[in-house]
Amino acid sequence: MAADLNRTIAPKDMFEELVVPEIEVLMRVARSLSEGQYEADDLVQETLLRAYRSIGSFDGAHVRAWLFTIMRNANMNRRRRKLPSLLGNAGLESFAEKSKGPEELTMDASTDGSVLRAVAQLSPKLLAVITLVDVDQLSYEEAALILEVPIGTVMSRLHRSRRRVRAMLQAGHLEGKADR
Amino acid sequence: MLEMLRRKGGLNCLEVARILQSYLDAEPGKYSVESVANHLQECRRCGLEASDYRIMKASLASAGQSVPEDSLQRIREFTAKLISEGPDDPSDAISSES
Repeated sequence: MAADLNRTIAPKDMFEELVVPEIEVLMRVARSLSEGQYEADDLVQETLLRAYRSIGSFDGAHVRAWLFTIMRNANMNRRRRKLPSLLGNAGLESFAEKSKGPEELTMDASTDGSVLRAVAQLSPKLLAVITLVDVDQLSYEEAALILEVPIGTVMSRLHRSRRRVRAMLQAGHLEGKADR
Repeated sequence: MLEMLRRKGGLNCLEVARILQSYLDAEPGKYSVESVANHLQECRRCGLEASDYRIMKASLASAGQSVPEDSLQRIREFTAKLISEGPDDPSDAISSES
């Protein structure tokens, strides 16, 4: 099907059919790769522009992986934000402000905010993985592509990050009480 | 300690610990979904751990669900222009900072 697309559809139409449906995913990932929304929007625009220019030579297979590669390269080239220092605390705080959690959660009374505060304390490498997988909902393979690491590394970092977040939540020092 | 032992031919706690994240993320792997599910149901400690991870995942997923409407609109306009008029000078793409 991918090869058929390349042969029979004009690049412009191919862009509309394959790339446009991925815009919201690109925006979520770009936000994780950027300091703020404007920077994220710029990264998405640059990614779309590069994708448009090269779609004529794209075989139509694995479009999301192709777009993530373009975005990663665009981000690296611009040196706006060096990987893996994804999603600074300011970004997580903005998530924390708007997040709403189900009342039945049992870990504590304000789990969403606590989880976000715990995640914000992770090292950049662990923060990057848990953000891409749990916030942006990428697969391990997609996260590995963005971070330029093997899938096994994504898995081990994810395990470590979740274990640490859980330990912090269990320790109960995430309610903004630095003295605990 | 008893939980560390293999349960009736199923997985033991250490085996589940190694694959739990992949299982929770529905990632493919060399494990039986049913075996993991059975262990989590039978083993209180592993079951609670999995439950905590699910809560964490849900919290983070809810934090990242939406993109700002004005940004989405701006990107959609950019995309429509790109499709209808083609790419301009590369520097034109970086417009939202101004």
